Amino acid sequence: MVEIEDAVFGYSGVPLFKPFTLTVADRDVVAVIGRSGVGKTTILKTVSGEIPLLSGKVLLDGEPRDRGWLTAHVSRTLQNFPLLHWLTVLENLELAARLRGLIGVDLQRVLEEFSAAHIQDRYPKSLSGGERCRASLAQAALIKPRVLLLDEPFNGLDVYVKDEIAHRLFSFAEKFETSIIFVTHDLHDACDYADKVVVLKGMHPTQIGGIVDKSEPDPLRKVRKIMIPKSGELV
Amino acid sequence: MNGYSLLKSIVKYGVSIVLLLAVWHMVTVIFHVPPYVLPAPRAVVETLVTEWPMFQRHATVTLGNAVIGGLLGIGSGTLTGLSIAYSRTLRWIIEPYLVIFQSFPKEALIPVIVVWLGFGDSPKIVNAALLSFFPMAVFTANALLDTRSEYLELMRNWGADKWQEFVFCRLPAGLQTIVGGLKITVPLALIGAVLGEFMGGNEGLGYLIVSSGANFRLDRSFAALIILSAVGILALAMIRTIQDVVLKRYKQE
Repeated sequence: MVEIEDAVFGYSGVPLFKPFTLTVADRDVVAVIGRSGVGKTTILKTVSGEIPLLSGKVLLDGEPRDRGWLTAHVSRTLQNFPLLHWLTVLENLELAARLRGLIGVDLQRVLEEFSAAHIQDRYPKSLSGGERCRASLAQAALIKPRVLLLDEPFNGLDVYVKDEIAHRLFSFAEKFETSIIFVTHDLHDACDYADKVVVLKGMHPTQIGGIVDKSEPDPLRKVRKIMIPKSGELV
Repeated sequence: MNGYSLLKSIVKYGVSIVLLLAVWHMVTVIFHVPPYVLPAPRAVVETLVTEWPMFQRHATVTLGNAVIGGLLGIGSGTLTGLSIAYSRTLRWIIEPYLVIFQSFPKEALIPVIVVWLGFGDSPKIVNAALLSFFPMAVFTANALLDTRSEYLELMRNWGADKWQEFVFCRLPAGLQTIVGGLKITVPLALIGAVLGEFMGGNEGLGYLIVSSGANFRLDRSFAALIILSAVGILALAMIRTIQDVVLKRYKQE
């Protein structure tokens, strides 16, 4: 469970956001959508503890957490799924496990979980976008995180790959009771794959323009209307 | 490098060398250039073949000094580069010296080194080391400091500390560039040894070039230059093979 209470995100003391409040329950998948440069990645970096919170609170499983807990229980995938180019998919995973201090993890099984076992001996330069995504998700899943933060996970993928990856992600979230937050600039991805869509508006300070639940009628139209009020009627 | 590109490379260099020799030969024939000004390529090759034992003796001296000096210069340059890339404090201390020593031609120090170390092998070794040290240090440091930011972010994400980041990320990511730096520093070590031989002593290819020129035996000078360039080409080919075969997986995407 992630509870963000009146949090102000920013860099070097400069706030990029107005106070931000959001709760993501276990097994929930929340999409944060906003324009490029609005600060979506900043939210993920702050929740994962990589950059400090300027004010407010971020509680994970009910408590503010230190760096050690965050490293052990929170995973973040990076935009474009970078992998070390001199290592194969399996070697990348082995290094991730080693650096995270994980011993005896069944790496094959983790790869299979994301349908990436067949690419384990390939180098990153020979991988498609979807395969990179699978390899990155396998790395993120290594620690069976309580919170999984995904930076543009569906960017550049075709709809078949997106659907399959989303399905595997949700099964993973269900199995390990993980809370997932993913950021995107694509409203279709946000509405298709999230239980809840947090729509950002404004730019530095950015704020929550609205939160749309998947169960609401026509969530796509609602998200679009919040993002671009004038063209909302065109959908 | 695959078989086809190797063949292409051999043909390219072969054609260039044949063309150069043809032009050289034509110039000496058409303009009746005397051999003490510009010997014909055939005369140079004849000298090289008939006097090979002498050339071999001098080449062994030069290569010995270049290899020892090169190993010292390139080895310590690499270590310096590694240190300043790893430690901000060391970078702060050492960087000004690198800038100062890079900004003037090290060749100007050769007469001073000869005064300090005499006419034996030592000044040649020191020259070779000196000329190869600075570029190697700079190459290594730059290669390690220019690591792609997303790789570093990935390492932080995996919980790597500074040492782990250095060993598992910066070093392998920069390996190709560091080895590529040898394409500059290995020839510089050879140049350093030859320049040292210009200044004094009575052996080595540098000495042979100078003394043959003074005696109007330019065929010997050119033959010595051919040996030096053959050694240089061989060294570059070896470095390229290391990059393409041994370190293939470290090539950038």
